[in-house]
Amino acid sequence: MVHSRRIPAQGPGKPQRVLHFGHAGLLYRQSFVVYDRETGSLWNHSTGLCMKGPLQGSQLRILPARMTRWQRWRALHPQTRVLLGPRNEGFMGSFLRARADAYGLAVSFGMHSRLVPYTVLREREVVNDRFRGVPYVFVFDPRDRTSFAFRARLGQRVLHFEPASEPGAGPRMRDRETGSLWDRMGGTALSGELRGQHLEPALGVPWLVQRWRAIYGEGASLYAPAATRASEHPTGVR
Amino acid sequence: MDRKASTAVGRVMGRRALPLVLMFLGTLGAGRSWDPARDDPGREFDRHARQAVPRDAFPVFDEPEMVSAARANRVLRPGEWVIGVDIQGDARAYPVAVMGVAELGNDVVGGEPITVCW
Repeated sequence: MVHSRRIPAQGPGKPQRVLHFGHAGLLYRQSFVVYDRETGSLWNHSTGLCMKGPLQGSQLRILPARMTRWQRWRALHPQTRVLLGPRNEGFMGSFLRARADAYGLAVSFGMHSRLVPYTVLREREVVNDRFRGVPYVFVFDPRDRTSFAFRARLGQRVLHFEPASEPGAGPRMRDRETGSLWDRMGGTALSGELRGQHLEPALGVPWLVQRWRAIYGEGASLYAPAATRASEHPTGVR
Repeated sequence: MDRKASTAVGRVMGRRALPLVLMFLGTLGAGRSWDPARDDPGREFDRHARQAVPRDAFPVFDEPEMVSAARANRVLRPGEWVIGVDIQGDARAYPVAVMGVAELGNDVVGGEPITVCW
C-alpha cells in the first residue's frame, strides 16, 4: 500500500523528516516489517504504524492508491509512468487468486479500519456505509472485479448511492438525494443537478480478511449488511 | 462470543471450572487480538514478531527509473493488476508482478515522498 514518508517534526523547532524504508526481515502477525534507515524504528507497512524504536507510535499518512487492472489504469491516466523490472508474483500473487470470501476492501483511520467483504461488493456493487462519522460509498466494477471507495459527501451534503447502468457505457451509480448519474469508478457526476462534481477518493485497501483482523485487532470493524446502520462502533467485528 | 462459549463450557464442567476456562480463553484471546487504543505497540510487537530472514535480504527500489505507458504496454498484459497512485496529476503504476520481487520501495510522486509496499 502507499504511505507518505514525511513525518511531522518530533518536537518544537525541529524540522519535518523524510524517511527511507528497507526490509527489516521480521515477520509480525504474518506481515513483513520495514525499518527506517534514519532511526532504525520498526514499522508495520500495512497500517503505517511505528511499532517499536525511537519513532514508536508515529503513524504514516496513507495516500490514495488503487488496485486495478493495467488497461483500466492506462485509460484513466494515459500519461502514467510505469515501474518495470524482474517479474514474479511469488507468494503475494496468490493473494489475488484467493477466494472472493477471503478478502475485502478496507478504509482505515489510524488503527481503526472498516472492511466490506468482496462477496458483499460483488452482490450489491454499490455499498453505502458510515465509519467513525465519515460517510463512504464502496463501489465494484463487475467488468474486471475491481473495487474502490469514495467519501460520500459534497461539502456538508451526505449522498447515498444505488447502482445504475447506461447502455454501452461503464458502470454508473445514482445518488438518491438529487438523482444525478455518476461514473461509478471515477467518482464524477455525469448528468443531473450535481454534474461535474467529484467525490473525494477514500483510502481503500484490499485485504485478506484474516490478516486484516490480526493486524487491526480491536480496531477492526467488519461491515455486516443487515446491521450496518445500527453498528458503527469500531469493535463491531466480533 | 468468548463469554457465551465459556458459559456453555462452565455449565458442562460445573461452576468451579469457570475461572480456569476464562483464564484459558484469556490466553487464547491475547494471541488473537490487540487493542491499539490501549495496548503498548512495542510489547504487542515483541509478542508476535520474529526474525524470518536477515535485514535487507529483499531488494528495495529507490526512486526507480520508470517508463511510459506505450513502452509498458509491450510488457504488461491488459488485465494484470497494478497499484496505481496519482498525486497532483503525477500518475504512477506499480505492477503487482514487479512488486512480487521488490515488495517495497521509496519513491517521489508529485513532489511527495512515498513508500509503496505489497
